[in-house]
Amino acid sequence: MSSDEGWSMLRLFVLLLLAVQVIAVVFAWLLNPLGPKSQTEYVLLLSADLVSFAIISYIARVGGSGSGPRGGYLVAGSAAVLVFMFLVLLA
Amino acid sequence: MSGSGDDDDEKVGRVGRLARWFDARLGLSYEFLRPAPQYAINPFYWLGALAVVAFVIQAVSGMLMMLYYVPDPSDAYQSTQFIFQNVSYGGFLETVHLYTAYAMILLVFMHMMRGYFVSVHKKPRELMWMTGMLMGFVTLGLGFTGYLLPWTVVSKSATDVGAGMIQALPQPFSNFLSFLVVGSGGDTAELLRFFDLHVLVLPAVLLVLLVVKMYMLESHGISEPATGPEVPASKRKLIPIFPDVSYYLAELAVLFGAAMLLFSVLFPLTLQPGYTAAAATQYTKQQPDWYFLWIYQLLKISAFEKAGLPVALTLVTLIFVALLLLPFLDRSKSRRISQRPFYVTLGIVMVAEIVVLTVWGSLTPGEVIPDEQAALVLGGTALAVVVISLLSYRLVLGRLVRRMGQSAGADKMGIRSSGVWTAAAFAFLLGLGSLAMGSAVNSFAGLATVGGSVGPWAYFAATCALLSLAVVATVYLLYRVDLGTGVVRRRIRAFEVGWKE
Repeated sequence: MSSDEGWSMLRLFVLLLLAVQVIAVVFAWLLNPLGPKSQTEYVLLLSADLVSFAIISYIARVGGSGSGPRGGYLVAGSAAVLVFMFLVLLA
Repeated sequence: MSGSGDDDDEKVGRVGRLARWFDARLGLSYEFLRPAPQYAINPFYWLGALAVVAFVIQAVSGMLMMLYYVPDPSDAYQSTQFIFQNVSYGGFLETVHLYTAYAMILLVFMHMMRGYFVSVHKKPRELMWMTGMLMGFVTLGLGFTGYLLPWTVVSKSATDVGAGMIQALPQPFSNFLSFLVVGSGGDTAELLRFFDLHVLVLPAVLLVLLVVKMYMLESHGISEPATGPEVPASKRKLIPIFPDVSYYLAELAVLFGAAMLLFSVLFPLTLQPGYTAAAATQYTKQQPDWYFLWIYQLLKISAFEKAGLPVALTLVTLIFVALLLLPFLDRSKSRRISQRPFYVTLGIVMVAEIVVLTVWGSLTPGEVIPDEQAALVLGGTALAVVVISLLSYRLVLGRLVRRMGQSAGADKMGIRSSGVWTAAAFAFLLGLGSLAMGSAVNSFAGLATVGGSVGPWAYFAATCALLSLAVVATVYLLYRVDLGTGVVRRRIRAFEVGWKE
């Protein structure tokens, strides 16, 4: 994969994470704060939001460096976000 | 010139231009926030910053809880219960507040021990170390004062244990601290004082100390690594605070926050029964919260019961004072871990003893610990750590140095290929010394508290003699090793028994 292709993939990835953040925030606001499960859902949404932010920040920090972001970190972070969002659906 | 400036503006992007706009008005980059070394992109350099993040989370969650909490013995428990049951996300807020408090104490401890091992207390950061230690004490104070506020039977009994410790301190500390913390007006005064200290006095003191420490950090910069090859200051790679270090800190902070949130949901707090005099009499597992458990476990050793309590508390106070004054006690110039076997080993012993005492304390609530058992467990832990640490120094570091082909460095460290027997001799002497010291302290504590006839005195004298022998033999061995490595320049003739060049 060329450098340009890599960058366009990263941009797409960041856009996806931003979309996840927006969805998480909107859903968190829609929760009933006194509902029995809402605390768990709220925390899962907030965690997905925070981890997404961390990944975006990581990409912004090391994106300009020669080595670029580590794939392992991106995969681990994305997996965590997916798990949190999946658990929200289950809750 | 303007063209060049425009090019730069295009390169940095919108966020960078916004940062420059602020920087031009606030003067951050040329007055404060100097570039950081590349090696600081490592979580261990930011344990203190994470503790501050934990403090911020606590401040926010604490302020939200303050909207409902009533600091009066008759209403404190009911208001806490109200937060748990009726306030939106109230139970979650309480849980996050407690867990981040625990995380903050743990982070502060890890930050302190990391600083100890990599010698951040050495010139020119002596006052930074002392400020950090004071912040650590304030953090413990925040934990102690906050634990009482829910007014449960567990929190009240734990606080009573702490207040008992304060009252057993030698005068004049006892009266002064009792007045400051507990007051003299019973439960109402005590709760109100704890509340004021927790939400106002201690956070304010912590913030002032934080500002002082940040000023000194800005002045001295981030300390150099104590391991790996030494790099001159002029050749260190520097990275800007914004965006590199700021982004990195933001990543650490949000990941820490997410971990705290998830932990709070996975292990939610349940409110213990409220405190009443009747409930207190039935509650038998009186002990402080985990971060004071190691002190409490020490006080439960039978030699320190009753009359020996002030002696034990004085010893604990001396440990804290020694840590505070560490920059003036550890006078060696080297910051390298490989060249500080004594202080590194001492630090590992301290961590090991604290962990052992804490775990042991949680397993034996309310039990008095027999002296022999305490001497065996604590002496055994110290002995094991010392032997392992010493062998590691002699063998692992020796191998590393040989691999690097630095025979001169190896000689300076006292590490030579023929040093295995010396290591064994050191280990034996240190083991002997530890056991003798444990037995001597044990027998002295017995004599001081219950008195004794000829037998205990003879036992005490024998242990002292053994300890003296171990100390003299260790000093002699050190002297011979130093002679061999050329560190000791002036020989002491009286010690040169059978020495050959």
